[in-house]
Amino acid sequence: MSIITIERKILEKNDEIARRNRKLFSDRGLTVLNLVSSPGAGKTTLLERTIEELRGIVRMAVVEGDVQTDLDARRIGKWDIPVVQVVTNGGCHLDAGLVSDALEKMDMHGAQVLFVENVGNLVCPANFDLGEQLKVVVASVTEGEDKPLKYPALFRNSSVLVINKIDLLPYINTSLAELRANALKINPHLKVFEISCTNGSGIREWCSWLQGIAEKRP
Amino acid sequence: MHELSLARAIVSIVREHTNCSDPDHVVGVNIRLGKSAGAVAGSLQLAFQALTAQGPLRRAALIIEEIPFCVHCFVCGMDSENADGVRICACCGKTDVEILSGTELEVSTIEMEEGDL
Repeated sequence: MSIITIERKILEKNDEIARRNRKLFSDRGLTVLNLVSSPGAGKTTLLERTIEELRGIVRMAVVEGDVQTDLDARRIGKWDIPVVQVVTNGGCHLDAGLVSDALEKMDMHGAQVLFVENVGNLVCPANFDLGEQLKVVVASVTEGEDKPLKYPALFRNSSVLVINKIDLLPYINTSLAELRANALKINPHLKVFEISCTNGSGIREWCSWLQGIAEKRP
Repeated sequence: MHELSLARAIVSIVREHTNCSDPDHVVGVNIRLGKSAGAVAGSLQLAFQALTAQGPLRRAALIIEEIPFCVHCFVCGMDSENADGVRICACCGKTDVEILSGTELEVSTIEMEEGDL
């Protein structure tokens, strides 16, 4: 019996493509956000509200990831900004190669911010670096306050937490303070926004922050 | 079920390292899997077996070393294990910590049988 020492990261190929993506984004002065959440937390609606608020101010582009259908790309397409739909055909996450392929299909018209909406899933996207600058986890209050504790990897690997659907708090038992505290237990460095895409609460703060980071880049 | 993607990546790494020899001789693939790496050991086993059952790696067993999630606390100076994957010092409860282990996803070694089969 012989033992061959390997010592390689399982996802090294993905990470290598992610590094190339990151270099490309950096060369273009593009800020890239990877939006992750469970299905139905409101990623696409958050993008719609963001585009409404920032169009004409920040040049934006979107890569939509879904297991099936181009419904989300059609929703985003209403605003006449560059959008590409990636259909994973059963795949539970986007990887760096899928994003790289999507970029080749896209004319980004000098975009400043690229949103990559990942497949709705609180587990699998945590492992796959896409080359983004920031991972943004969207959690809706209807999911309860315990999700950060149950799915720690995604919250730990994210830089920003957007808590959505806060307009529904009067009708449910979720404690916003506890949800926030649980997320910060997993990752004390999370920047947290509390928003409602339905009544617009908190959207301006989120967009001001986004505009700020987009304008910081050359 | 991203464990299938991970298993594919493991198979690809093993194949690269056995290009010059016979992959039929691979009897073990040792990996380190952090307990908070976001992958399930059982699902990874299932995916690896499904991918290798018919091919040249059919004799290879996936041997998973699970690595506990441990943090170092900058407040009390202690290292501690936190089974829930929470970035909190298990000794003093503070969050000013750095992760020491528990997020690994690595192939460490391959075990090869020598001689003719």
